[in-house]
Amino acid sequence: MVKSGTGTVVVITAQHDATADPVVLALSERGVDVVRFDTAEFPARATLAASLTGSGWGGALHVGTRTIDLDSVTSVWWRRPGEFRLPEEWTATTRAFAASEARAGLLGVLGSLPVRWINHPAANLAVNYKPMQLAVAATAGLDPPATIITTDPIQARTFTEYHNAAGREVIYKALGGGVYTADSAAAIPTTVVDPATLDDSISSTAVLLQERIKKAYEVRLTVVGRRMFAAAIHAGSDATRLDFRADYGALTYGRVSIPERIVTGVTALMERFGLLFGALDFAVSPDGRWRFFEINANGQYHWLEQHLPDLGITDALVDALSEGHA
Amino acid sequence: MSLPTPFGVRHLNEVEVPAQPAPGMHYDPQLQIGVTAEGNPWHALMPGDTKTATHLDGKSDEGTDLW
Repeated sequence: MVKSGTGTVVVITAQHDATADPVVLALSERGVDVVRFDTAEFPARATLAASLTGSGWGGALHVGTRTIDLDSVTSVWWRRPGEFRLPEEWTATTRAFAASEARAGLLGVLGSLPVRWINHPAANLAVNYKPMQLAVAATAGLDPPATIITTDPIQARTFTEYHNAAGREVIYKALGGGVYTADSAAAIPTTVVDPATLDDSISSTAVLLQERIKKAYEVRLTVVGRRMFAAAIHAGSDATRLDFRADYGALTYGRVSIPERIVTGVTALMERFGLLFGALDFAVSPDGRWRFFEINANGQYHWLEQHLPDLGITDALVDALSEGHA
Repeated sequence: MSLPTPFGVRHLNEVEVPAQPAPGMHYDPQLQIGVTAEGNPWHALMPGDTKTATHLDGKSDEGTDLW
C-alpha cells in the first residue's frame, strides 16, 4: 500500500539542479519536511543504516546533519541524481565493485519504499526504450509517425524511397541518448536521410527511420499526475523546424489547448508505464493533427516556465509531492 | 566478423556541455537544503566547476540514470 500524507519529501537530485530549487523552496514555504539528497554523496558523505522488518525496509539515511527516517518518507522526487563519487585512488575494479554494491544497496532500499514516486526509477528505465514508447503510443491512439527499426539496408531504402515518392522526407534519429563519458558528450541530431547514403552500414547496429512530419508547431506536453500542461513551441529557423533542441534562441512559446483524444491517449500511456511525470513531444501538422514523437519520463520543463510563467508545472509537482496524491 | 562503421556514427556530433545554467536560471545557495557530512551546504561547488553537470535545464533531456 502506498503511503500518503505530509511526511518527509525526499528530492533526489544533483547539487546544481536549478529546476529542483523552486520546488524545494515551495515545499519549504508550505511547511513540508523536505530533504534534498544527491546519490553522489553516497557512500563518502552519507550513511545508510537500514533493517528489514515485516513491513519492508526501515532505518535511516544520514546526510550531513540531516537524517531521513525511512518510515517517515511519503514522497520521493527522483530528479537527476549524480553518479556515486568514489575514491580516485581505488582501482577501476574496486570502484566498479563499490558502485555496483552501492547501486544495489542504496537504490534498492530507497526503491522499495511504498511511497509516491515521481517517478520510480524502474518505471523511468522501462519507458526509456523508444520502441516501447512508440508501440504504446500507437495503441493509445497518439498517432506516431510511420517508423521502422532495422538492420536491413533494403528495408531502409525501400521505406525511404516510398515516403520520398509521396513527397515526405525521412529522418534518422538515435534510439538511445547519445554517448556520454566523464570527459565528453556526443549526440546525434535529427537528420534528414538521403537514400543514397543508406548503405551496408545500416547492418551494423539498429537504425530508426521515421517519416518527417510537416509541422505547424511542436508541443511539449508535461504531465503531473492527471494534470497536463501544454506549451506550443514555434520554430524560427530551419534547424529548429527539424529539431527544436537545435537552437533554443530561435524558439517562441505559447499556450495551446489539448484535444480530448490526446488527453485520453496520454492518460493511457502514463498508466501503462506507471508514470506520474512525463514530458511528451508532439508535432502539430498544419491541419491540426497531433503526432506523438516521444516521452521523456524525466524531461526538463523549467525552461518553459521561464517563458510561460503561469504554466503551473512547478505548483503541480509541489502539490503532488506534498499531498501524497496528484 | 567484420562490420562497417554503424550508419549513425557519421552523424554523431560532439555536444558542448554548458558551463552555466540556461538564461533566466541561477544558482541559489539558499535553496540547497541538502548538506554534506561536514554540515556544509552544497554551494561549496559553483556551477561550472564540474563537467558532469549535464542536467542544466533547457539544454538537454539526457541524463544519467543510476537505476
